[in-house]
Amino acid sequence: MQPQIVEVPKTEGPKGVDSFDVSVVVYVDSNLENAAQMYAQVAELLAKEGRTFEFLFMDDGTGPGVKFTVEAVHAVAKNVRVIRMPRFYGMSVAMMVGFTHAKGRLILTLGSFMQVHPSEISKMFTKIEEGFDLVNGWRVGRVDSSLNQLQTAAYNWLVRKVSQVDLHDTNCTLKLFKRSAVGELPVYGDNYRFLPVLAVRQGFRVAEVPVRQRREINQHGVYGAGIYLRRMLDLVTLMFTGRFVERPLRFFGSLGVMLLGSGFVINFYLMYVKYMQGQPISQRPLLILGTLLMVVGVQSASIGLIGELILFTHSKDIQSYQIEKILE
Amino acid sequence: MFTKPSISIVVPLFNEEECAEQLFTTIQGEADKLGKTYEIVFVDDGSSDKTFQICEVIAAKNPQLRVVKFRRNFGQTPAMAAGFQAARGEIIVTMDGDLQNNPADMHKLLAKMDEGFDVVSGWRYERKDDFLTRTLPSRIANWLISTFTGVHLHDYGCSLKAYRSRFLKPIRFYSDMHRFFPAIASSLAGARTAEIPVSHFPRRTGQSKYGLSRIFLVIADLMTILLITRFLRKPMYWFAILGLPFLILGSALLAFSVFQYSASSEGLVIVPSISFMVLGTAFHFILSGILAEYVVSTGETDGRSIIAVKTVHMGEGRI
Repeated sequence: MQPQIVEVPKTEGPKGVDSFDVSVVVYVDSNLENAAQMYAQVAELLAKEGRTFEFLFMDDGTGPGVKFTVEAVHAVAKNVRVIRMPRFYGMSVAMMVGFTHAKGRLILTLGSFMQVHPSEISKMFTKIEEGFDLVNGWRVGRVDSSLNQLQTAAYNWLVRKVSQVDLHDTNCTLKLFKRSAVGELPVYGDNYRFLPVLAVRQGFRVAEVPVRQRREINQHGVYGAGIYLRRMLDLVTLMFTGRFVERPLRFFGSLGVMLLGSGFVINFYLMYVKYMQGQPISQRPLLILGTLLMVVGVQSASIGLIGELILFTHSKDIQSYQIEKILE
Repeated sequence: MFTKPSISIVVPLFNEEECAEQLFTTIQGEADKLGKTYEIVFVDDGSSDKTFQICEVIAAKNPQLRVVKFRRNFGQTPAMAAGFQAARGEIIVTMDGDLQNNPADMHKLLAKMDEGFDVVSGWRYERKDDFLTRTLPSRIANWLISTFTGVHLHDYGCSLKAYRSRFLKPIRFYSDMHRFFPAIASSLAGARTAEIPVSHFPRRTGQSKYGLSRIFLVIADLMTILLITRFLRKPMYWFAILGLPFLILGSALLAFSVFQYSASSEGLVIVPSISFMVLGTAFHFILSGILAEYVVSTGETDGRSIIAVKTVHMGEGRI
């Protein structure tokens, strides 16, 4: 298999007819457990369901060991493609590239190791046939350490609060969705991890299915500090892409008004101290704080103005609506 | 063979199952009298009731009706924007989906267009809404928009409007912009605007979405529209104007502290510090202006692309 030249995919939907019922897109990084076993288990399940399928292994610039494992599967199994990224790009980019190459009507995504028993996946197929556009896995019976579980629960709770979307496990790598839907979602940068939230926001029908985690998998110990920081940043992203993306001035402007207002109150109080109480204020740091707040408030509002300029002049890229169908 | 209609009537609908049918027959009746080819574009803004099913039934019998269905509710501006993109006529007429406008007024709008105007706006001369909560706030808002944008209309909120579509097609509208379509078309592309009084019925069902409580959003929207209609062509100039008061104030404070210093060098901390901050803000505005120049020059939807449309229009006029 030749290495593929990778570009960040555009948001247009993938072209071509549905050659298969299901495209299984597997994200492959150094955590890959056993590609051959994964293929065997999922292929068996899909064959039992009576669905035609293809496999796409998205090799995210892994080392030679993993590369050979995946290519060994490619050599023996049919309908398997390996797409190798020239270097590590992260899950978001790798998966989006995979979706543009997929030819199935449905896309099933899997992580590097099977977190759930394959039989759990058939529940997701049952669910999507009820008329949903995307079915997200919800891992229950977690086998992580209790600190990790607590952190994950808190994170998912915050995601629900911030996004106002009632999903319990957006990060679950196990997802099943219609291929036609994914091309219409504004996926860019790192926001693939919020794919279900993006789908809900664009008006797609999203459901989640509880899937039991495999008992025998051996999770790594406790999350490092990095994952905490990353998840905090994720939440900020989620907030801004949802509510304020179309109206930056509403955010920067209200922030600016609050800062300006508090600075104004402080300086007004100092005026009172100076002129009514006759005390000198020129040595008080509070005066600097008050002035600084006013100045920063004005600057915040002006950043909002630039944000609005960016949006209007680049508004061709905004997806401000999603058309479901047009009757002619 | 399919021929392009000369008029597109764009109507956003949100949960209007009760009046969708009546709306269509009324519009159709009036449009038939125009003696021109037309199409009606209903945009179903993610209704949760039977609006779309009703539209489907009508569309099956009437080829003039086209229906754009949104996946969920996105709001009035996106609905209008989708209608504009779908419309194929040279002239686009917009109106409310709740029968607040009288489709019979279309004739007046189109007659005015024939006089050579590019945008004709309806003016609800006698409002049928509550004075304190609806009419008064909207009068104030209209006055502000008129002053800010320099496009003088009495009633920006009236949905009944007619546009030459080439002024709308190059612009992608988003968020709450529907009140500003004429102002944007006029200031960016030089569309000639006019307004005529139209009749207005009170809302029959449902609640209005706008009122006094949203005053802050209105102010933010006004700033945005000021930006689009005025800043867009010379951003550096406008940011410099914004920074000018800070430059003057900061320089005055600095001069004052220099003057104080020459008298006595004791305890001179606060005033110079404040003057530096204020001057820093002036500097910030200059930098913002440069950034804004970059933004506008790399953007697609700017004055140039739309003004090009106007030039073509003038050429047509001479022939």
